[in-house]
Amino acid sequence: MISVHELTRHFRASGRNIVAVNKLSFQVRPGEVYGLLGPNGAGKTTTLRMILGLLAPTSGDAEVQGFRATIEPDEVKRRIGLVSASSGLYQWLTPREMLLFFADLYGVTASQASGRLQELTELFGLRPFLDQRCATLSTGQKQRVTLARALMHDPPVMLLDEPTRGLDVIGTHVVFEYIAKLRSLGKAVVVSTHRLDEASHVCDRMGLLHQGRLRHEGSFAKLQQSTGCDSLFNMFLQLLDESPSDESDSGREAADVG
Amino acid sequence: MSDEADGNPAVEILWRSPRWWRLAVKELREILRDRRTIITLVAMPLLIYPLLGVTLQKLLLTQLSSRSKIEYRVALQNRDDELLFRRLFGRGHVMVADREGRTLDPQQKPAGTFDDPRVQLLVPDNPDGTIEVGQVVENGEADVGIIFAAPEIGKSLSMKLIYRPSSALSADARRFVEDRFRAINEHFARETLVNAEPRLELPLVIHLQPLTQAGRQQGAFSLAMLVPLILILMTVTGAVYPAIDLTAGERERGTLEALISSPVPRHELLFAKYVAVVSVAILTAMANLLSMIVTAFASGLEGLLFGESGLTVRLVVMTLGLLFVFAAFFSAVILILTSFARSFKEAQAYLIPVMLVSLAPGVICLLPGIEFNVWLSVIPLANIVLLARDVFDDRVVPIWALATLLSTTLYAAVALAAAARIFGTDAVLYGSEGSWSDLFRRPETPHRQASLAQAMFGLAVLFPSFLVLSGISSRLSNLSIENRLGLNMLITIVLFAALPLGLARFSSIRLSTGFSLRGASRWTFLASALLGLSLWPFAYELVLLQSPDGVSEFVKLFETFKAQLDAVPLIWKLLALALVPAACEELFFRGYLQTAFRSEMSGTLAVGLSSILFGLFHVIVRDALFFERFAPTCFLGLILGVICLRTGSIWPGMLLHCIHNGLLLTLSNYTEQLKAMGIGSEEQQHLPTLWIVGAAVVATGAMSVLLIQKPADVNGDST
Repeated sequence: MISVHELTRHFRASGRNIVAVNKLSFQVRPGEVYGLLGPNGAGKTTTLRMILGLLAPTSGDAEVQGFRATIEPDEVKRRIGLVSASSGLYQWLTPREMLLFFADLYGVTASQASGRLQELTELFGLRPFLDQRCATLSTGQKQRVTLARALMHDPPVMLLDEPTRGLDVIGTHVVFEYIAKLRSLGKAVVVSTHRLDEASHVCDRMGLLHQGRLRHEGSFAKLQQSTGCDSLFNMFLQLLDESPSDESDSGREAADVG
Repeated sequence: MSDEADGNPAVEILWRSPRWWRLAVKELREILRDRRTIITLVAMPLLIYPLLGVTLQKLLLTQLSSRSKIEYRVALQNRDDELLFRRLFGRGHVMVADREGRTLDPQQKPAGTFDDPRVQLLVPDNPDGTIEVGQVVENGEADVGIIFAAPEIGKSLSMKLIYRPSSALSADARRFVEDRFRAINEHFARETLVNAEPRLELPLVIHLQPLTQAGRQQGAFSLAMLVPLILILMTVTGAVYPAIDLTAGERERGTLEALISSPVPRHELLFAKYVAVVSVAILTAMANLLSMIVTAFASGLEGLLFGESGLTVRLVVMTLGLLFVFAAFFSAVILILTSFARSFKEAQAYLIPVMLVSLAPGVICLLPGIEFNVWLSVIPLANIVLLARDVFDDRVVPIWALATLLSTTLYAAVALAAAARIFGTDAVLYGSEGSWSDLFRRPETPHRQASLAQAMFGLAVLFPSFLVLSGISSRLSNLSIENRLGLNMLITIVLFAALPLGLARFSSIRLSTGFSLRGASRWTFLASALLGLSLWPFAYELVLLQSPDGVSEFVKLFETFKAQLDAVPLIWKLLALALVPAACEELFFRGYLQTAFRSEMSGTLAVGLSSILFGLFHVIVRDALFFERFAPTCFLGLILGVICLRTGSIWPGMLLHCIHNGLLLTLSNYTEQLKAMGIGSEEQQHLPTLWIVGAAVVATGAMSVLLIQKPADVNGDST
């Protein structure tokens, strides 16, 4: 469903070349939740944006259902639902207007959109505030609208970028349930997070990303085996202690790119 | 549920409209719900104009009351007229007082004439001298001027009252004086009727002579000149907030990433935002215009604000049209800046200096004595302010109006293309460096042809440069005709060949495909050559068809040019007026433009559009417009366009164009010899039928050869 090959992205900042993502490769199957784990600046968000076709990779490519992000970005976008912690809502629109607007952007027909709206309204309990302006909604209500928005076009692939950032326990629980629901619906899900405790709960497989490179990959049990560490936290401490011997860009900095 | 998308008829209808419109409606819905938009859109015009109106009225009244001791200044051309005026005015003044049932102040001695404190007479100091009454009124030294015709016994005494309708004081003075003279007439009429005499002719005939704007000194400043600038400023205020909110604001709120993650091209998303911004700007302009009109009527200032003919439907429509063009341009420009900005604050920081800078040409154009010229007609904003001023003064010059509208539209298209390029780019979204330079970065991968935006950019650079350079060339009268031809040739090469080639190189466009430079069969060349020989009679008849006068006008221009040209060797003329223009114009119009158009629209539309542009460029001849040239040139452009479309090559068209121009030049070179041979000596304007039939047969045959060929594949490889 998702296939990432040798994905690389360089940025220029203050006259220096920064490698945000370095020859990253992984695959995600339908019904699988893949966690992209790493500290801030590891290259998680950059990777998701390249999969989505928003950022052009310096080299390599990502494929979604056989469509390459660099060649047919619109086909790729049509198949992906994006949930990002930094996503906002249109303050002057109601959730209904906003959801229908996004359905329209994705080419959903009027009658299909109406059906989707009804389903998602029930699924996320949006009915009480469906016709209220988004500006007046509570944080929890806004979160539910954002989650519903990404599903309006019923995409087979979901990208979740730090979905629990800034949320309280209840909000986080809603996201966990959402991911479980996506898995049961057979969607291929990529979750990027630096909250390691969460990852082991929700992800079927994980990729540990550090300085733009995939250091370890596999299920939690497999990672424990390969790293000799019992927790993700310890695995990361081990990663941070490793000095990158094969970095061509010795001056790589953690850019504000994810 | 009852509130489904498909349950709502409005949503249903909207869903069936084009997508860019649906997107624009969402943007408009959002922006119009925002209180801040409502303030600029409704509250500001509702408050500002009544307030300005009251202030202006008060100001005028203060001006009047400060002069109450002198009141009206009446200019008379000589001492005889002064005596006549005093006599008539004295009588009339008493009659008005009688009519109004008041007694004149005994202090005014003799009542209402010499020492009337409300009238100050302006007469020559020298008993035999005269003064230019019209001039004195125009300069504002007198409020009203009177010129009496020579009195004839038994005839009415004719007079002219000269005044300035744009000055409240002058108009009032005119009414004051006129009232007194009319009182004499009315008194006489009454007496006549009472005495039942058969003679009914009135003793005085009064003609009002308001000084029109055109007749007035060009330098004079009137309040009406400020109106367009105020309207333009208000349109700007209407556009600024939505532009920021829909671009930088969207990024700040975190909705931009979700928006550009959708499979809708960024330029379409931006276009929808542009439509919303222009709509709000136009709504603001309309609200302002309406409030201004209502205030002007309510406070009696319409003459002062809208020129001497007052406010007409034509003026309102033209003003709104101009504001629309301006809004279309300005909205695109500010979208460039706001698309680049990462936050509301940053966008404001960019916009304030731009608005201040853009005000400068607007204000400068209001200075007395500034008139339209080539430069001003292509300077953004300045040209619109000047055109608006001329619309208000009712003295629009077509060429400058056309240059203004065309250049502004082109600039708007280019600005929109630039904004679309910036909107949602990596750098703007994710903060890497060099986003402005991205706009000017040379693409690494080569392209087959220019994009529509690049073609529009080329046109936007070429059009003002063409106007300015050809204006300079026609003004260099001390140049010899050979040098002038050489200069024109250089201009043609620079603008129509070097410019598109340079742009193509900068944009990494492959020359062979980007300019349709592939080869063509020898049959195509032969057919094109025959068309080049046979098309001129049709072009000539097309000119005749629209206006026989047009031909003589054009012939007149051509004759002056021809007289100078006769001294130039034919080979030089053929080079400067046939070979070089044919090669360069084909390179630009068919090669660069039509090929670019073809990549994004149907062949018919691409040919139509490029030939209209080809026609328009030929309408401009030395600071004047010759619309008669449009149809024949456009016709030639269509044929050339079709040939390029069918063959995928500009070479046959170049040959046709060159032969067509060369033939006309050669014929004109041997006019005398031809006449001696009995050709072209007829008095009649139309060509002999035999010529037209012959040309039609040749042209049809040649065209058939071209049309039976397989159309060139737009994506085919060049050969």
